[in-house]
Formats: sequence, structure tokens, C-alpha cells
Amino acid sequence: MTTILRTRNLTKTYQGKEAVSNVNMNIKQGEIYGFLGPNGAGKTTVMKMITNLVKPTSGEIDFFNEKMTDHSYEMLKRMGCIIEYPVFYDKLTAKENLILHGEYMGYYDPQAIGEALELVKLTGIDKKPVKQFSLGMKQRLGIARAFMTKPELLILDEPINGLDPVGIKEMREVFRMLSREYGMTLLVSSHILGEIEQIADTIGVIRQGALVEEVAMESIRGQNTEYIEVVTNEISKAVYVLEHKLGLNNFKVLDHITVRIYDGGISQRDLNKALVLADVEIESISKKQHTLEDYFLQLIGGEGVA
Amino acid sequence: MLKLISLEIRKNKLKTLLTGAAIVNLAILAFMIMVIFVDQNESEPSFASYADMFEGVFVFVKAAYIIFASVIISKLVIDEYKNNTITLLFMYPISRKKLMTAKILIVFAFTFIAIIVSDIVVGAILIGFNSFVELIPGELSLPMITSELIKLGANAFYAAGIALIPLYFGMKKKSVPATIVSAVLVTSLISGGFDQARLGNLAAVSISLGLIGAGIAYMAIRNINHKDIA
Repeated sequence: MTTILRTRNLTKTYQGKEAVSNVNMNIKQGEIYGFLGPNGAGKTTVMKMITNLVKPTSGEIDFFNEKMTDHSYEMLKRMGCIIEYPVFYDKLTAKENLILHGEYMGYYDPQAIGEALELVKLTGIDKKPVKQFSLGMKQRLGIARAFMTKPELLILDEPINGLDPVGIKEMREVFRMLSREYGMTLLVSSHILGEIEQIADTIGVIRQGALVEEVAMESIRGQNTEYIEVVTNEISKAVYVLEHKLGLNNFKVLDHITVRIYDGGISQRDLNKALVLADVEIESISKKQHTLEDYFLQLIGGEGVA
Repeated sequence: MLKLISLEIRKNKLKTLLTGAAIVNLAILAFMIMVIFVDQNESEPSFASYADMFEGVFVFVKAAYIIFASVIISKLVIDEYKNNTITLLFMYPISRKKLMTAKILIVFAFTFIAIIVSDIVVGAILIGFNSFVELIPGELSLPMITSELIKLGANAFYAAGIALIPLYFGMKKKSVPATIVSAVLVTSLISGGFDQARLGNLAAVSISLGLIGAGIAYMAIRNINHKDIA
């Protein structure tokens, strides 16, 4: 896969303080790149630099192997964005806003507007000025506006803010669809791990302005360890059974009552059976997973990620 | 550029400005007629001649439209910053300089044309009105009308430049009140005074203020490319 957007040592300083420092991001064509970080970590600043709203203090951005400068306007044609929160000319209706957007982008397809509105399920709002929309509706309209011109890179900053659970699910479907059917590349930021985890192919984690990790979801899914946790009052008896009857050695005694078995070769059922046959009293037995959440909480330092 | 201008007009529903201008002109007209009537028995009427009357019209129209222009600047420029739609605008594949130029051209052209049209319309109505009531003495002559028209054109041109001065204060604070208050101050500076001792009547002052306005507009456009849009 080719890399369509690459940042090199991207840095932005505000009044002597680095808001973004030496970020090296690589976004590959066709993927959904999840940009994760707590509030104020620098996600929006990075996105603003990519969309040329904010000029980097140092470092550079390559978009389709072309270096971005103060005068790079043409490349903005290939992006669709929502930055921070969706803004509109709010005395106009949704449709008027989208028509204007098309005119400014130089994209003329009368069907695109209707299609986009339908896809985000915004219908029956013909006469309403955007001022009267709820945040969720604005968010949907913002998403529609961003992808309406079929850009190659879609940049969505916190796109699920203000959406209800149904809306979140619907938008997730829309993102997947855009990625698969139109081959769009998506850069989606969020401070909510659960959301990113479900759609992203690659995750970039930013903390205090620095990109602390950039990793393919595939590889971290593989890293996750599953284990069976047994809680019993007769820990020594249980350990004896594990070691001598079942021949396991990849387990860990946590405290006086808990033991974790990491060996993948044994099923929960067999384990249960062996323990019961040996007359070990079991409080509970369950299968557990080191979640991605644990993984990212570790990276971010346990703050601010819900 | 024409395309950008027409988009700005559509986006901000600028056609409603025409209604606003019509109301402004009616108010000026009503005020002028009132002054003509109230003053008729004074020993020294305000408008002793057509030249005086034109002077009155020019001063009022100029003052009104410089303030009017600051309202348009607020709508086109300051509001975009305040509502954050500027982030949207500057993410379009169009040079920021062109976008700003389109906005400033609208302000300049509107002020220029509105002042010329208003001066002529209000002046003509007053002349017509006076032909019935005959309160202003004197005759109109062709050379006089020509010279007044030239004065009017020059005045409108300076005023369109002066009208851009509030842009500086508005952009500095990104505030609508700052824009409009500075317009009011500029207006009172040039139209204050009495009889012939008005600052705005000195061509040198008008020209320099007009140039300052043009300079402010130029700086606003020139610097826009390097600015961070927070």
C-alpha cells in the first residue's frame, strides 16, 4: 500500500510551548487511521496543519508525495474535513450549505448532495436553517459535506461527538462503506478508544503532543493474551492439579486465592472437570482477556481516556 | 473573482443590503426636507443655495455609508472569524488572498456605488421638491451640476477607501462592535465641524485617509497566507 500522507518531524510551538512535537505519521491509502489521544493532546492541531489552516513551526507534510506549502491550495481539493466541530453558514438550509460547498470545491454533481444527505439519514429538513439543528444533526451534515465531493482523504475530528448510540453505529457503517466502496482513506480522531478500536486499521496514539505509538490493529490484536482465571480457597491443591494432573506450567498464582492459566492448550471445560475431580473447591472460573484498553491506557498513562 | 464575489453575495444574503440602503436614503431625504422647512424663517438658513444643499447631502450620505460599510465588513469578514466559518472557507482549494480580496472588493464597490447613486437620487429628489416649495434660492446651471458631479465622484471614491479603515480595528479584535465604533469615529472625524471648516472637505485629508484605508486592506490581504487560523 502506498502512503498518501506523511508527516516528518511535524512541530508546532505556541508561545514557546510545543503543542505538537516531532510527529511522524504515515497514513496509507485506503486505510482507516484512528487518531487517539486524550483531550488537549494535539490531535486537532495536527489535523489543522494537515489541512493547511495552521502553519507548522518546523517539519513537513507530504500529501501524495508533494510537499505542502503556504500556497498549496490544489491539494485541498483531494481532502474533505471536519475540524473541531462542524460549522455552517447557519442561516442557510442544509442543502444551500452543501451547494455552496460544491461551488467552492469546484465539484459539480447535482446528485451528490441528495446522495450524501440520504447516506447520513438527514431527510425532511428542506426548509430548516442549520441554526435550528441539534448537534447530532450538524455532525451528520458535517460528515455529509466532508465526503460529498468524494475526496481521497477524509479528515474527521471527533466525528461522533453529539451523536446518540444509534447515530454512532450508523456513522460507523458509513465510514466503513466510504472506505470500502469508494476506497477513501480516513483519518478519524477520537478520545474514545472503543470507537476507534472498532473501525481503525491503524492507530496512532498521541500524548502531550508526541506520537507515542503508531501501530496496525492486526498486530496488537495478536498480542492480546487470553487467560483463564480460577478463584479458589484451596490454592495449593489447585496448583498441584494444574502441574501434575494436567501438566501445565504456564500459569501464575496472583494471591492466596487467584490463579491465572495462560496455556492456550486447555479449555475451560477440561480445567473445570479436572479440578472438580480432584475435589478442589472453586469459587469462580472465567475466561479473561487483556483488552486493547489496557494496552492503550498503558501508553497514554491512564489519563483521560474513557 | 466574479464567481467568488457572487458566492459571497449568495452566502451572506447581501441582497437584503439594498433594502437597508433604501431605508438609509429615505431617512436622509426626510431629514434634509425637515431642515429645509425648519430653517426657512431663520435669518441665516442652513441651505442658502443649491451648493449648500448639495454639500449637506454629500456629508450625510458619506457618513451614512461609511458606517454602512462597517456593517458589511462585520458580516463578510468579522463574522466569519467569530463563527469559525473561516476555517471552512480557508480549507477550500482557493487562495486565501483571493477570498479576502473578493470580500474587500464587495465592501469597496458597494460603498462607492451606493454613495454615487444615493447622492444623485437624494439630490435630484430635493431639486424636484424645491421646484414646488421654492425655499432654496438660486438657479441651477449646467456647469454647476457638472462640477458637483465631479465632486461627488471624487468624494465617493475617497469614502470607499475610508470605509476600509474599520477593517483594521475589526481584524485586530475580531469584534463587530470595534468595527462599527471605529467607523463612527472616522465618520465624526471627517464630517464634524461647521460650514466650510470640515475636515472631510480638505482634499488632502480625504485622500490620505482613503489611502490609509487602501493600505489597511492591502495589509489584510498580504498577511493572510501565513496566519494560523486557530
